[in-house]
Amino acid sequence: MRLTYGWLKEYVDCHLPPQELSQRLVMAGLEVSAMEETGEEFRDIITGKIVSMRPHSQAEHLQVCTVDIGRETVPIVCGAPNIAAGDLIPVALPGALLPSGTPVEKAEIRGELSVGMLCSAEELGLMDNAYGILQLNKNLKPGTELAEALDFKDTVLELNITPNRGDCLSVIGIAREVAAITGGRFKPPEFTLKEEGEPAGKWTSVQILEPNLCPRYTARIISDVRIKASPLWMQLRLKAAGMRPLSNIVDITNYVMLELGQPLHAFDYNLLTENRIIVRRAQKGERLVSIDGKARTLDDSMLVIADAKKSVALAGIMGGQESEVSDATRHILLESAQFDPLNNRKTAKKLGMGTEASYRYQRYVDPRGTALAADRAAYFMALFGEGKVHPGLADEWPLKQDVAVITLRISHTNKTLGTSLSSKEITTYLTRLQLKTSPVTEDTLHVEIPSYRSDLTREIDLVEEVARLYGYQKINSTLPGRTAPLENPGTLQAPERLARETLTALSFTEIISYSFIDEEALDKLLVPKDDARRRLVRLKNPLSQDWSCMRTTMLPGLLQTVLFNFNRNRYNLKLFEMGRIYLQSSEAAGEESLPQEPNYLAAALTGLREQSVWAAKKEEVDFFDLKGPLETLLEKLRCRNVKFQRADTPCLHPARAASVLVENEPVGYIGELNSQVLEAFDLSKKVIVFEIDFDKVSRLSQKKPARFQPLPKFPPITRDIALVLNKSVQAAHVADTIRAIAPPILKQIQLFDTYTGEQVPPGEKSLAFSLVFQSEDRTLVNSEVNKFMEELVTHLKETVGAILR
Amino acid sequence: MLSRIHEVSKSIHEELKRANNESSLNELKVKYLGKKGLLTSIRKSLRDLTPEERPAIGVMLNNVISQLESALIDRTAALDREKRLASEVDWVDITLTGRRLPPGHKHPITQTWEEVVQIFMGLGFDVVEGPEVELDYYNFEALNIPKDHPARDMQDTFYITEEVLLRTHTSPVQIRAMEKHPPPISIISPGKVYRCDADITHSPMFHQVEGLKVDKDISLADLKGVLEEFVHQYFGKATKLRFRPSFFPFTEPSAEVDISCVMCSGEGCRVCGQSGWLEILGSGMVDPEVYRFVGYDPEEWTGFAFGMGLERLAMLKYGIDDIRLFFENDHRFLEQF
Repeated sequence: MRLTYGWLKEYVDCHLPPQELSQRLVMAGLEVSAMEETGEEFRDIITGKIVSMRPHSQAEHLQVCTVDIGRETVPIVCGAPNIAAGDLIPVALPGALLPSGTPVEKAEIRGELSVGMLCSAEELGLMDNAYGILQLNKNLKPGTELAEALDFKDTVLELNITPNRGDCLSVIGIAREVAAITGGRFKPPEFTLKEEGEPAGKWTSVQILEPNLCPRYTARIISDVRIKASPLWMQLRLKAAGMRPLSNIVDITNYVMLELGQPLHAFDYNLLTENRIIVRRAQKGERLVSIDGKARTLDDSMLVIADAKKSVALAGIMGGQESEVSDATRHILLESAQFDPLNNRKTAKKLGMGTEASYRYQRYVDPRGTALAADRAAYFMALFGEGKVHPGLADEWPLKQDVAVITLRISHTNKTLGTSLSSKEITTYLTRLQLKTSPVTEDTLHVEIPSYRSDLTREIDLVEEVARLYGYQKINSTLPGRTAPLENPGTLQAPERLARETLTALSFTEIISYSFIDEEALDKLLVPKDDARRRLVRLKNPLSQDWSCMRTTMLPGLLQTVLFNFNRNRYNLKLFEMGRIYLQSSEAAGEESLPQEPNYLAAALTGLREQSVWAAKKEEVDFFDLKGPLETLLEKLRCRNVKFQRADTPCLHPARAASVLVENEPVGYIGELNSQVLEAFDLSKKVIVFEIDFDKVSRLSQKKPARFQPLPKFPPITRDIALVLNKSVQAAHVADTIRAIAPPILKQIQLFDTYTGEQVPPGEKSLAFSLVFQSEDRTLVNSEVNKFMEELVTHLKETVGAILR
Repeated sequence: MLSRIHEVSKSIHEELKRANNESSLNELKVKYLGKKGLLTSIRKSLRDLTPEERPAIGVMLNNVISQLESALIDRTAALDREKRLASEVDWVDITLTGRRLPPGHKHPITQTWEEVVQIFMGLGFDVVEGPEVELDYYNFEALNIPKDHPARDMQDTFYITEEVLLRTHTSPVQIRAMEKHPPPISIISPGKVYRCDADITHSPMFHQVEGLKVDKDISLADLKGVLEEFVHQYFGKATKLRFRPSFFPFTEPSAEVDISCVMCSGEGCRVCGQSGWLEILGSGMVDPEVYRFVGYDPEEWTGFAFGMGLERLAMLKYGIDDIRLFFENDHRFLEQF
């Protein structure tokens, strides 16, 4: 909502400077989003008086005017037909930039000097199709700044009105607020309407077939109007409010809408079949060309204004082109009505139309204001359109609402606000808002709600009004006591926090990528067609194809981030992301079933190992550089029984991939991306990744506190054993084999060396384990350990084909 | 005699300073303590003094001699040590960086998240989370935003189906929590939210933290107190707050909260649009209509709710001017936090 301060002050006594008023409005909940000075666009445009005129020596249609611009007289060449000596006109001086965008310079026009330019209304950004030079009041002094001469030096306030305050979408609405906030007197517009001729009821009739969608419709008749430009002051106010002046009749409907908040529409009376109005639903498939020239196909949910034959307007949204006011219009049927906000909104959305009228109807228009607005517009049409206003209104008001009365408790008000206001204070605030109050008991008031305040329906709404006028700033802050904690509060996010701490300590950096992916990313990752990750949650209205689905794996975001950093010459990356993936529960589940959103953790590793150490050899990272941090992480999270199993994961290199198991349950995978995936994501370097179901890992981790184990009292015995065996036998399998036959005194098995090469036969490898034996109750003797070691060698030969090296 | 001792003592000091090797120390020893040394000859001349003078001057002379002797021993030992070290130790260049893993970095949004949650946990709020893919009912209807209400224009929504959407705020978590737990309740719900909007100040995905406290006799004054405490802990005690009326369908009365500009301390700058104030959160007393949806009795219980964007907090705290930086994940950006 835009309005000038000068306009506002017509309806309220207010002497605050605009800046201060704006502050007061903000603190009362009317956000002032911008303030501008009007008249800036008329810089270097002044008033001038044409002293004399002579024909241009070289051009037939041009004339050379001698113009008095106050401090001097200058020659100006002009081709307009509507000027004569003695006229007072706007003069743009050299250096001016017209609102239409034309720069003005001192120039020679076909050999005649021209110092400036005489301006039309259009060149000044006023009426679009204005004819000739704008004629100003002859009493003005030449050489006056145009903005000053037009009384257009003002401040525009731009207000963000919240959707509940439809009543503030008008100048008088804001004026009422200003009166309430400042205590200044509210002065509604005063005018006397002169009616003549046959009553409106003889000229037309109104029939409402859908009272729920149109609780009130009034029509006024103004006959024998003359279509011309509206007065300059009105054009300037419309312009400042952001509307385009068109002609007197249309400008008046817009002006009164801005002034009173009631949308109006003027029909060309003669173009309405049988000159009457029917408010009805559109027929399915009915067509209407709206004023903007677009053909609209309607359906039966939409409300239209029709004449005896056809629809002539989309109710409360836009008029039809056929019945539009034109230069040929003689009589006006003026509509002032109330329409259902919801239906209006649905129709406007369906048709993709947003108009000033519809915006107001969606936010509630006061049914008790329709007649006043019709009178006001008719008054202006008589004044500036030379029309004859016929007595009375054709007024249909099938759904009249009673005045609402709300009971307000003083105690409840104070309890909600944390204040101790008296009944008297509260009454003062409500009265300033023009709400009538009457005390019922010591603690209760009856408050009458004016019909324009559709937002006040409950006691709590009045409590807010009291708070607003008292001032939020004046309420003293208090700290409430503690509320008992929930019985089963949600996560405290302790595991998430621990995981982040651990990974960052291991030099990994956290990223947050968008939850949106393109389905194509799954193809690039070679995710099979029947995989659960293909059950995508798809957006109906995505911003782009790249962001059309919710992610079912963390990899796309991670790999895009790797690429983004590669492109900025960052190759040594250790990244991780923790966040949800979104899995559609199943195809069969109902429309309203929500997807699962498990929390996942993924990491990517690229580039050189230990790149910050000056002495290190520059080696590229491999599988184990990421497996290590994952193992550390799982240990920190207190996962027991962690296993890595060779597994086929389509996106990974088959020889360097593993699935990760905790307590024998698969929780994710780790490995090196294969070349096909690297290529699909445009990645030029080796990338190692892991992705785990973090919720599952948290669930499987140890919850019980650690149990203290007494420290060993007796010395350990250590034995190393080096085995040669087939390359395909995994170290973990050998360790398991040892563990399977070990006595309780074997406390630790640790692999400390692996070797392949000349020292062992081809196809074989050497593994060296260190075994630690210890007893809780005695000192071990060598002989018992030796005995086990002998058995072990035999056993390993038989089971895994290992021989001592 | 006295002045001679002083003179000798002074020159000993000078020469000790200059003696930085073994031979010069030896020379010094001979010069002063040798058979014909200066101090030795002074001692011999003590005999010429009267018995009354002799003790005091003798003590003084002995002091000078013993000081010189111990200084000579100290300096010799120090020289020895240096010599030994120089021959035995391979010097390291201690300016080289340590052998280490460079630190990783938590995302600035995570850091903000953790900090905000920490503050509210200290104020007695429990942390509760909820789904990001949400029902229209929880995201809008139960928050008193019916279908086709103009208030829906305040939030551009991504839809999955007619009834399923990406939550536009974390408020639905409050509804779910109130459905599950009878009053009193005091929770905050951090999480990702989505709106169909993308430019320098809007991201289609961002993070919010919302809070809710419902108990006996909770008032707007309490809301002010809690938010003031939060702002003071997060932005510092000097930060001023401004509560101004606003409109949210799920609170009544509603308040928008501004803080004094953290860039210019309220003087007026580009960041605060010359106003000196920055809008950081929306809040209000829970609307009785919302209680109706979850079965709380508005006569018995009152409460407040508030919500804020973590990106906004982080941008203000760290001076970040483009919201998209958070989700590009440029390493040069992330490693600054």
